[in-house]
Amino acid sequence: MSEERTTIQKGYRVLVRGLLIMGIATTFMAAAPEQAAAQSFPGWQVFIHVLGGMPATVCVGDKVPIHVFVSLQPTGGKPTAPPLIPGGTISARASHGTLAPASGTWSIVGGSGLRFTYSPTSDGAESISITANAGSLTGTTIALPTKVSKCEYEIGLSALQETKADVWWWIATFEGSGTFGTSGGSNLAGEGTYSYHVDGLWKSKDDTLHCGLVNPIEGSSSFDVSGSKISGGVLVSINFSNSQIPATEYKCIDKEGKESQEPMWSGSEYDPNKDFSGTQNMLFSGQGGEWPVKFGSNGSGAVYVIRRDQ
Amino acid sequence: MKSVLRVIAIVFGSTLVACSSLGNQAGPAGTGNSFVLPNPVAGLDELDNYRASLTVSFQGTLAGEPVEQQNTYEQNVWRTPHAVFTSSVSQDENRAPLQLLTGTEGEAQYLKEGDLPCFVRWEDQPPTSFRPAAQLWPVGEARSLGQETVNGTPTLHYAIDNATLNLGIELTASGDVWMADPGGYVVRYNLTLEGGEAYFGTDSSGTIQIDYDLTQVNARPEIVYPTGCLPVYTGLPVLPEALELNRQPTMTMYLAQTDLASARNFYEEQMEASGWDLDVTHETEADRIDLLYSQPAEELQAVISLREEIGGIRVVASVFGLPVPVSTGGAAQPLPSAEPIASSSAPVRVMESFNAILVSEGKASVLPSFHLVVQHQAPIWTGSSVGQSHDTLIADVEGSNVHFRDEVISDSGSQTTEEAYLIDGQEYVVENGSVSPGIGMSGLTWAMWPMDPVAILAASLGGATLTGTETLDGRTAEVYSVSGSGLSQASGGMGGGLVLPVTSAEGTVWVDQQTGALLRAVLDYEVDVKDADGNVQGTGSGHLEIRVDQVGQVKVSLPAN
Repeated sequence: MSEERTTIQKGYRVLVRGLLIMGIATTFMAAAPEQAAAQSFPGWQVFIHVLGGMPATVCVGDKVPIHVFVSLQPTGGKPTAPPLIPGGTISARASHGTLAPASGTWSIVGGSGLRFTYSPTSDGAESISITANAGSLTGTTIALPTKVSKCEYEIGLSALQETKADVWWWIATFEGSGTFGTSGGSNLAGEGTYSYHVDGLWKSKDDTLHCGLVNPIEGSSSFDVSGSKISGGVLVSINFSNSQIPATEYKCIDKEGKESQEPMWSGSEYDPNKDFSGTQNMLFSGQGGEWPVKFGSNGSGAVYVIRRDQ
Repeated sequence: MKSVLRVIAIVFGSTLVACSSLGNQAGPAGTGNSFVLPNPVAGLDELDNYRASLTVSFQGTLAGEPVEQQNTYEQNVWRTPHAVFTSSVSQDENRAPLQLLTGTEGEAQYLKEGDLPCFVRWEDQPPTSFRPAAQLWPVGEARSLGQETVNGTPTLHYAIDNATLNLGIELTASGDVWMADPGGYVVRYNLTLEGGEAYFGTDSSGTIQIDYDLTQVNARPEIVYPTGCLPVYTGLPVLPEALELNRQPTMTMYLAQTDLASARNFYEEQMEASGWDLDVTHETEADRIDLLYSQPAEELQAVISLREEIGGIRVVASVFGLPVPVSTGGAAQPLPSAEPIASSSAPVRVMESFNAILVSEGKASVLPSFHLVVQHQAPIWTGSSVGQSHDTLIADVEGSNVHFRDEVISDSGSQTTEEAYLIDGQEYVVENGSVSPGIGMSGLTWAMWPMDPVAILAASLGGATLTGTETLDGRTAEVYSVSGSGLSQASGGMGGGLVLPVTSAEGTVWVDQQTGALLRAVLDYEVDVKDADGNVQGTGSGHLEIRVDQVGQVKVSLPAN
């Protein structure tokens, strides 16, 4: 297409739009004068939505996804064609970190999204500024306030095993925690300990027999953790050390009060390492969270990550 | 230049014509003005719950380059308690499918990107809500086409054209809007906009298609959580001095500015008051107490872990035995695996491609319309031996409207055929060439067809590997080689005989690169063959082929009798 034709087209567009606006204004004045003042130039406005919002606090070293959706939305009133804009620009700025990409384009065809990744590099009060422009329309800027902290992380697990067979049910808990992480870094490493506690909470469903461990099975062991910050979260790998869960005995009392001492029982069923052999990968939100796990055939629980601001 | 002036004159003239007619056409009841739809989101806030689906597509040429783009949005909303879940399928800068789920329920903020888990963030301030209806173009005066029931809602139907939208000649508009009567909210909105260089710019032209549906209006009083996302359990008490509070689906974590004894007293009192029984107190360390509770009424257990640390008491409270919401379809979140996380993307991609073509009442496929052929050769128990049945399902799908024909040939050679239309939630049966309203059985047939394919696909996902791309029916498809073992006993048991007990499956699956929808699947599988009582009587081999084509080219409407 020649440059001259393009110029003529541009002029034509401006004229058409101007005449349309004139017509619409005339319409409003004639048909609904009481609305004319408020809606004399109805049109379209650039809207910016941050899908999922922005976390109130982020950490140095995080990679925080910011999903921005930009669209033209009618401001209400008499309909009219949206502006003749095939696309617009969008840009983002931050003072305590970097944004990738720093800018992009968006389409008015149903609006479009752009995914920024914010990587905070220093702590402090942050206000991320996002601006969307669309040709001759007034651009829109929004601010996303957040707090950037230096953080450390605690990892732990809480799990419970239960069996509801015809006769018995038993229950066991594990609690553990350890701190990992380096302030501001993207790579994480650390170790922790966990304790286990198996109690004799056995009884028959028909209530004719009550059983219990002579002594609760208790002990502790350790786990190693490594991880890295990924976009939107933390990838954690956890490795449990071998543990030696002690043996114990249990005794039962029947309806007549008669006690019976049962033979030694190893308790190895409750060794987390049995189910967590090898390295386990888990994903957590950058704000911390939980990752469901299974223990044996009847146990369930979650590994959790707690984020602490320093 | 003369032509330009002529265009201006036409536009100005038509505008004046439009002006002269404004105010003569009554809008729907309750709008109180002469516009049919001045505010596309009006009325939605009055609804208790609903699902809004929006698809915006563009097909054409931009700056000389062919472009095909489609964005889909589905939003499920509940007013009390307030919950909003929005899923979108759009394209990233490389035109690869970009799937995003965001949601909010109270202070729980949900975010799920692509194959990643559904993360929960506990925040005081909910984000502003994106609303699909806000993307619709307002409608001015429009020609009434009468009353209709659409998506189960009584509506007033209006036609949309250039004058309705007050457009010039840069775009040619045609479409329809159905507005609830009473209610005034948009129930359905279809708009096609065709334009050339005058609108899209130099060497550009194309068609914009906007399709919006509002379904499930006030039909789901309970919040339905998206697959992979779980409700946050808030039944465990929290000390009033809580800092860094983070509530997750099964865990509550925070720092309490108190001492160990006070925290213990708080939980012992509050848990008992809430119906929990203290089963075990665990105090093996001086700075830590673990309390194990059970709640017989709901068959729940809880562990409250209290631990001294600088600044107070770290509380980690876990609840066990929570029921998995039915809508999540089983395991709500992926379990830990020794395999690298990234390796899960291919199986997820394949499985979600199948979900993407499924259509039910109120749920449209990510494809605006398509032609579907499913051919399934399945082993069956004849009563005395393992035989074969042949099932051929042929369907035209447009939005949530369907016309299908299902033909089953049993091992003995007997044949049953079923043909029906599912239009706007209403079923119409075709018998002897005549169409009449049905009683729901055909809708059930349509709803049930994915059951066997999903079992076969699920069994094949373990070895899903992307092997390349091919062009199918003009669309770029990712090609996945799949092979794996099924869950013979488990799936058969859980499904009560309804779930095909596939023991192994392998084949190839083609996934539309643009939308993530399944375009073709060719799968061979082995299955345990059961009798009517669910007892395994033998094994057999089956073959399944699914083909999706004519994307965006299919129309579904009732034939004139």
